Amino acid sequence: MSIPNWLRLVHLADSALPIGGTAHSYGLETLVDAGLLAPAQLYEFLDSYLVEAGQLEAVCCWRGHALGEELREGVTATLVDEWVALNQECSAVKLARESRQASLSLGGRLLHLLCALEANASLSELLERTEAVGGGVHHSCVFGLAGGWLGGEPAVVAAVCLRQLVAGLVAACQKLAPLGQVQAAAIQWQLYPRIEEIALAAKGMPAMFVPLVEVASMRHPALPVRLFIS
Amino acid sequence: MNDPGEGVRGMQGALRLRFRPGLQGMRRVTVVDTLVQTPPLRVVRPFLLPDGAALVHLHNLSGGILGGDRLNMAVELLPGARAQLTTTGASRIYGRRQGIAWQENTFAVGAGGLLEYLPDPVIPYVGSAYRQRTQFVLGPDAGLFAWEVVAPGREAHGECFGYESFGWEWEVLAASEAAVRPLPIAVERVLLTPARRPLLSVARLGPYRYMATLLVCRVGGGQWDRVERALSALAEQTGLAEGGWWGVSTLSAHGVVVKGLGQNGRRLLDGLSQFWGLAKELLYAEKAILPRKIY
Repeated sequence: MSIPNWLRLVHLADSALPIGGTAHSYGLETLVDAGLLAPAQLYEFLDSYLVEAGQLEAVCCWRGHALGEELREGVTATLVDEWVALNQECSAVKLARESRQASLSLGGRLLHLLCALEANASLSELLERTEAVGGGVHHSCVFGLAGGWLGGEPAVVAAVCLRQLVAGLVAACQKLAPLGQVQAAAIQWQLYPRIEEIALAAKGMPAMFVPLVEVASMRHPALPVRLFIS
Repeated sequence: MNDPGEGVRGMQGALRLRFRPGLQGMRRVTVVDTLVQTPPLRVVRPFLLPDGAALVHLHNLSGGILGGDRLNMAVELLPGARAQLTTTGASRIYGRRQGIAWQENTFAVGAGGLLEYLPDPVIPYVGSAYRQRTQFVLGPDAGLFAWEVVAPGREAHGECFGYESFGWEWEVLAASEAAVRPLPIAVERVLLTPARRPLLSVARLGPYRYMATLLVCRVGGGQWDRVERALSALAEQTGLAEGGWWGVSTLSAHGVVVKGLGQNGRRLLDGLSQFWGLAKELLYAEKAILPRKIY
């Protein structure tokens, strides 16, 4: 991967990227509100979350990456079918509506942004054909697609995607609970070996068990006061 | 979820049922054909419900699922048929002696059919290892109400997450003539290994021990946002809220899912019945008929 493309990938993973990443807590807001998650539990929470839900995101990223590499050769009907099927499968696995829609919202914006930045006919055609089918695209799938398109190593791309996920959750927690900057940075720092493990092991469609987070996400619309969309 | 691949050393039970529309006088009813039944799986006879659906009790003559057992159940509802399937008691997963126990269920619901799959809770005993795969394929306007409750073990014996492993996978697919492949609308794949991955982690079960899921689907049915709102409001009502922590969500298409976590399986089961009752009223303008256990 060239240095400019590496910088482009890091750019796409930046929390300041204008796709709305800071608007979602994926159920964390409900967990904190219900007294089920406190800052002292955050490291253990994120570690377990990565082992369970992180695997799904890593697998979606890997599969998106493979299609991104193919896309450099042009758009084919098979590629579009596989891309649509991947995103449909991802939607079916994400049972909680708000979290599913958050992933779709970020994914859609990221794909539009990528198309605008790269100004490439193949990317634009994939976007057009995806939108014609409907159903949307998920963030981790699009991030993987971008990583494959830019020529990144799939495990590295998945690791960067997971790092962004964790950073977003930690940032959300900082808004919801008394969590200091150094403490927040230390939690992320300590999780990097776990991120590597998950990113390298991603294969198949993994098992995932995060029922408390799922129920929290499903209950989020009923919170009387909300900082986040999800 | 991959097949454990171990040699089959237990029972190889199979059950194949077909439900088809029929007439009883002028009344439209559902008739059951038992195509295959090999021990330990067995059905005795169907019972006719007031709405014309056929109620079938699923028996396991072994009293539970033993290590090494491989059980296979295939149920087909022809277009327009209505079936309610339940068990005669909790599904006990005995300790592992001869390998992993394995159960595979497939349900195909034809156009306009309605399946209500309402089994008793699953209780994995200490040392058990179990895998379960369930697939629902729904045709146009086909409906599904399906629930599952998983216990932490035999609580009366002080067991809590003492099983070796418990994996389940279910998927709901909506088939249509227009699409080349069925659309996955809900998928869950879980593998619990309590000794390796603590279930009481705040990302997993947190303070809860029991878990429950209810799937509510009707292919082509609309107004899922309204159904989600109505069931979510029910989740906050006192009786239900005291018995569990409930969440309701629309699926990616054609349905909603209800998830509940709690400390008591009976209360979760009572909650599921209430959600099922309200959802059936909303989707079919009919009352849910609780499966009778004793005749």
